[in-house]
Amino acid sequence: MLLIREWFSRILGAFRGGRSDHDLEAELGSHLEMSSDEARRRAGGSEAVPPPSSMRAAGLAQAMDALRDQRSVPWLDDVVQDVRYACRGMVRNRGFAATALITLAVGVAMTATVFSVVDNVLLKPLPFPAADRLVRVWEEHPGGTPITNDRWLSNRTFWAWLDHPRTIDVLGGFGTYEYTVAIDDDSVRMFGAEGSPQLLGAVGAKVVAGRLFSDEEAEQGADRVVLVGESMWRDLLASDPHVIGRSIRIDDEPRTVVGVVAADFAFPDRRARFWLPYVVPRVSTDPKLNQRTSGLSTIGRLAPGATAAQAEAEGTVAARSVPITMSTELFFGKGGPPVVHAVSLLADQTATVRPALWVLAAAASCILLIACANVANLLLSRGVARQRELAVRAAIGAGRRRLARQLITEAALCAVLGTIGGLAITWALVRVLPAMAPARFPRLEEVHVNLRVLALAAASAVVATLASGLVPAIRGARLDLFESLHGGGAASAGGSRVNRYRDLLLGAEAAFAALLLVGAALFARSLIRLTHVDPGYTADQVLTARALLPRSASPDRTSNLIDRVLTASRSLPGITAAGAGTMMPLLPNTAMTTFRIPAAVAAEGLIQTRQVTYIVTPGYAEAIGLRLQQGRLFNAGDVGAGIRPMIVNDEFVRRYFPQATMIGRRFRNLYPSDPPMDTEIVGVVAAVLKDGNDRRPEPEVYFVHGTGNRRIVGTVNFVMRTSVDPSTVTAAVRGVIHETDRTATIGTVEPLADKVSTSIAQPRFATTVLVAFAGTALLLASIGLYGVLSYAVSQRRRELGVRAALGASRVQLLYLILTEGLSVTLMGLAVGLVASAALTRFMQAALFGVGPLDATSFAAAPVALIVVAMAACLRPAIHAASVDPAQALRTE
Amino acid sequence: MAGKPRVDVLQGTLDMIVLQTLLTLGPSHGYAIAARLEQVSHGSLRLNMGTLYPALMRLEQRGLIRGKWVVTESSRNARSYRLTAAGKRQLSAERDGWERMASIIHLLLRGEG
Repeated sequence: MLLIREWFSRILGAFRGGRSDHDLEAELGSHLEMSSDEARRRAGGSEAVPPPSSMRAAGLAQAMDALRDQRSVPWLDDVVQDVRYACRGMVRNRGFAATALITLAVGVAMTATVFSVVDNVLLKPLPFPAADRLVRVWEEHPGGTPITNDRWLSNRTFWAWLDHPRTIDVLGGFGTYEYTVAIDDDSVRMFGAEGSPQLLGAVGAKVVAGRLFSDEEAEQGADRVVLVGESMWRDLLASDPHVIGRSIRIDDEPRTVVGVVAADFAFPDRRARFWLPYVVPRVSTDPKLNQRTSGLSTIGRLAPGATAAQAEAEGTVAARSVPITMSTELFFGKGGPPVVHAVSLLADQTATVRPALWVLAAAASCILLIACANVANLLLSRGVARQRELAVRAAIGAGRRRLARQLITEAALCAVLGTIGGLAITWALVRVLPAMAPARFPRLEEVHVNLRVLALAAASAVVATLASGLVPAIRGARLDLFESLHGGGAASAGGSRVNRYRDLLLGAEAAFAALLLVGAALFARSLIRLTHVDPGYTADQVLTARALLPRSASPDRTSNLIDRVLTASRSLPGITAAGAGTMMPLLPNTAMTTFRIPAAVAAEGLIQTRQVTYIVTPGYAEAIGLRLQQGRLFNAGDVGAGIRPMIVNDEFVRRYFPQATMIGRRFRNLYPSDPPMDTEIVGVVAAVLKDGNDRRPEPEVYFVHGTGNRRIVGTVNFVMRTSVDPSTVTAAVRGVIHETDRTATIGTVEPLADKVSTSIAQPRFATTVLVAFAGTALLLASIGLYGVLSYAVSQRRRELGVRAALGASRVQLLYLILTEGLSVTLMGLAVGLVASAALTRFMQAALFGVGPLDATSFAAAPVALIVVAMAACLRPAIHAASVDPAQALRTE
Repeated sequence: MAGKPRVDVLQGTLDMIVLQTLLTLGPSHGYAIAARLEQVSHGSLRLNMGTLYPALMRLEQRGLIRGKWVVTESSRNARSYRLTAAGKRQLSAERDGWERMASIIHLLLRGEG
């Protein structure tokens, strides 16, 4: 306790918290005075016999040293003194200090922010128990074209695998969907999820009331049950204490609430507010019963000790043990023997952002390296400028270690302050990030600056310290006193070794900047390609609206709704065309059909086609702006005609009927289950990139609603072309639907352009960030170049003066400095381009329509770098050209 | 006084000696403490400034004594120290310890007799 008090005082003492030197000297002085008084008194008051003054002085000095040591902690005292000295130096050289600190803060902030995101999004385990054992499982039939981009396991494989599983202990289906939930008389659209009972348990579902599902409840024909989430229970069920056993209608089916799930359960994602049992259809061996294959989104949990590869092998054996039927081929395409894949759930969920995030992480690292090089250069330049000062301090007795320590302290102070600044910026960035990022960016709400990121920032500060402090420190310790004091300092200062080191740093900055510029150019070009792809429709000035009728509603009611809504909305001011369809661009549902039809050349017999199949009303094509290439679109006369008109797209023609005339081609009984009716191709349109601009065109066909059994039932997608801003007619369209059929639930009503914008939000965000990074890199590199050149010019005034005196023209001096600055940049640029050529292929997964060695990008980056470098060199060069020889020579 | 043999302060006893002196004298300055010790020891215990003042500073840092500037009777400025309550407690603890130790050493040295 006493010791703690003493050390506390002594640590305070190191920060000038103790008694002042003056106070101590006064006390010792008073002691000596009293000692003299005493001596005088003893000698009889006549003559003072003071001790010799040299002895007194020695005693005083020795006592003062002992007191100073006792007052504080000697080594801490030195550190505090060094830090004070460094702070004074910073305040004196404000411009220098600000540049160094801001550079470092920006570098640290960008790295720390991006790594916060990487850590939270890509690396942190999912919030489920045994998350590292969860794998996404699906099967592939190599060579076959699956019905959609979803990855499925067939129900046949599922049950075959679960017969005797060894590598997995849980296998279950899951999915998030939007449902119509009716409680009492209110109905709302909301997201819910399906999950197999065992899977829900495995991912950690906990009830706060009631119970989870039993396995039997996921069998076909079982009682219909539902688990509600705490938020839904609170918001929609008024926290009803007797909710267990209550019945609510979900998609028009009554379901009994069996449990309330704790609020922190976010499976498969945060959108889900209630859970239904996932029913995996069993495959009957009785040919009269259900033999249809269905596809399931599946998650498995690896048995303890089993690997994903072992699960893949076991799953593949199961998939190959079941028959492949027509309906299997509809889902998975006609391909080779199936192969089962098992990929870590975390990797799977973050797959869409993973490539771009790693690119950004690499980019941020480059920025940090540039920042460190910049600070090193600044400190180095300053170290050279201070050579004289250091020499003087060495001459009056400061040890080399002491000087080196002083220099390292300055660098460390720089690093610490820069890091603190960087962390403050990071803290702010991480807070605003979720608002800036695209809506469907996974796991971003979980991002915060965590301890690992703090450690990373501290590590980068250490790197910065070592990089920027060591070199001047080593140079400082090696000072040659005579040369520095005598040799006119500045003119000979630096020396070739420092210059080489400085050029190396500048070159490295240029190289990293070039690398980032190439990366940003690639991203930007990729984004431009993505937004300039012709998607086969015109999204501008289109309003989309989704209406859902209860499952019990008859098909005629759907037709009735469509007719009346279309008629009413066509008369609304601002709406120029309106139609409805089973599908529309950028909505996830896809309907596929297969036809067996005569080939273009009769001798080839029947061919099997697979195509995305739309059922639309007349007006749909005009409203969404399909590109008619041949023939005609649908018109009102097509409905109920004796012949079924069909429109196909160019991809359908290219794949199945190359070099054949399509218009007027007729097929008999396309749908064996329909009443006999001929189908005639009346038009060819361009392919619609339904699932996003980055997708490949698929064969598509269109039928008219109401021909044969082709009709829109239940869910209707209205599409309306407007002559005004589509969002202004949103309310009117909602009103029309609501008035037409009050039992219809209205889904999202939004401009199609908004959907398009959302669909490319992720690449746009990544591009924005990377371009910002490249700009920062360019700025930092040019600051470094400017700083070093300005400094070099100021140090070489004498040499420049001599050159001017000997007849060098201003242009020649300008040229001299410009070439010096640019040669370093060009060397760095060359290295940067070579590195880019080697590294950009790792960006491939994040690029669209642009190769990793895209010539335009590789040409644009050097232009930007050279222009900025020239701008940075210009002022120092002009400064050099304006040196007055007489004055420059006189100052020395 | 040259004839008297000088003794060194026994390791670890300086703090106790200073505290005891302050208890005896009441608040006093460094010179008075040194003078008192010299007087009590008949000149064989002489503390130099480099020993005494760091000890006073240490005791003050530990909160056992408190110093303040005063004007002495001979109208000199001096820093006077007084025992704090903690100082008194510490002194009595150290004195007990010392007395126990001293009696043990006493017994040990005259063990046979």
